[in-house]
Amino acid sequence: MRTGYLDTITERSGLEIVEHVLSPLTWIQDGIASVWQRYFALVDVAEENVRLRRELLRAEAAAVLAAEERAEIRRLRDLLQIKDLEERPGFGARVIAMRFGPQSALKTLTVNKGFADGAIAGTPVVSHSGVVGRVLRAAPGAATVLLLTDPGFRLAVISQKSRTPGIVMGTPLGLHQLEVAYVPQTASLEEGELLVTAGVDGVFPKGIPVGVVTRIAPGAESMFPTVQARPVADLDRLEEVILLLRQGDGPPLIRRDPPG
Amino acid sequence: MKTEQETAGSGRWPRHRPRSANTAAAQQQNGPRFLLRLLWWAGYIIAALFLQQQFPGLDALTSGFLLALQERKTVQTLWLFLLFVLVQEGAGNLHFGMAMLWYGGQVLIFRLSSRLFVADNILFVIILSASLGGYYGLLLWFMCVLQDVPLDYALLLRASLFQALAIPLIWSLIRAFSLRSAGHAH
Repeated sequence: MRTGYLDTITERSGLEIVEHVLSPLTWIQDGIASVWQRYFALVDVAEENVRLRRELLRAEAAAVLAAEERAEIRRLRDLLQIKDLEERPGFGARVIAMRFGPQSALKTLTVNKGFADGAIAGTPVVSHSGVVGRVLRAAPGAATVLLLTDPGFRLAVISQKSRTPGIVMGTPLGLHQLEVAYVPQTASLEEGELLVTAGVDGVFPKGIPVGVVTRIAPGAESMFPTVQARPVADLDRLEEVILLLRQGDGPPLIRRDPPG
Repeated sequence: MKTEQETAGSGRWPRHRPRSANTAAAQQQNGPRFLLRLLWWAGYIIAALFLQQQFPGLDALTSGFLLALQERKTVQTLWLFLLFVLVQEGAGNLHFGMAMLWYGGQVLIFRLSSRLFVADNILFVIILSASLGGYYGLLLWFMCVLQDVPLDYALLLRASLFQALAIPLIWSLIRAFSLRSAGHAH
């Protein structure tokens, strides 16, 4: 037990069994939901289509402006010889369960990609809106992800506007609360400010949204203020996540090409 | 009344078939019955894992394990114990040990309670599940303290109560669909 062999055996076989049972069930659930959405929930779809077309026009105009600004930033970076933000390869995974089974004291979710696809312990996990967590343990075809809001999770962040550094930690309470520790007393951090990854840990790339500051209060017993935040990613409604390969990670053992 | 020896001596069929014929017939019956039992347990495990997917933190396999203990088939119970420990330890997120103590404790509590009560009715299962709910909360707290995992005590209390309520409900459902009740119905 102390050698960890039993942990390895159970996580590679038990987690794999669960993945093989839950993946087809999730597929069936998705199929039923998709039939419902396609054929029964089509009320007001024409109106929604017109609204979406208008939004698309606005988004296209914004994208043209953003492309100009991006090109300008690139030119300025070249002038100042600053390295470009790191772009990491990643792959998508389906969330198949949350806090699965009686032994789930930690805030975790289970995804249908494992170490055969490149997910190993520590692999960063993000969603389309921000940081989700990191891989805790992995079987060949499934992995358990420790969520950002777990009390055992730590992540170096920096605020987007005032560039205030801090360490984001989870709390035992719920899926919507974070604490930001070691924020300097003199920092000009504001409520509503976005916190992004600092990129100093070598695990998460710099600039991924983590949370929004919700409360700042003077520290009662410490020299640091009490700062609370809420995660940007909607952690209790996640369906798909992206697992980012870390620098120096080898290629996945099994390369699954997309169909077609 | 004639004895069996006399019947056999008179050239008529004996009242009971010889032992070898009985064994062969039993083996012929056991094959499909074993397969049916295997299919029933596979179906139950899939349904239980689906329930666990829908209700975070729930152990839906416990009710089946209690049913196996009530059937008093040692080999079947042993296989289920190993499989359930493997699944729950693998899919859970604590270090190895909790599932062993959880299902091992269930065996112990079942054996002790079945000495006091008739171990085959819903009242027994309700009393048993109340004690199992308490045992679950205590065990989870103990494992978290050992592994230095911060715990939300409100969540722990909710999980224990939920577990205690879920066990008799799932047990009643699977017992209604169990092979034994199907046999009784016919």
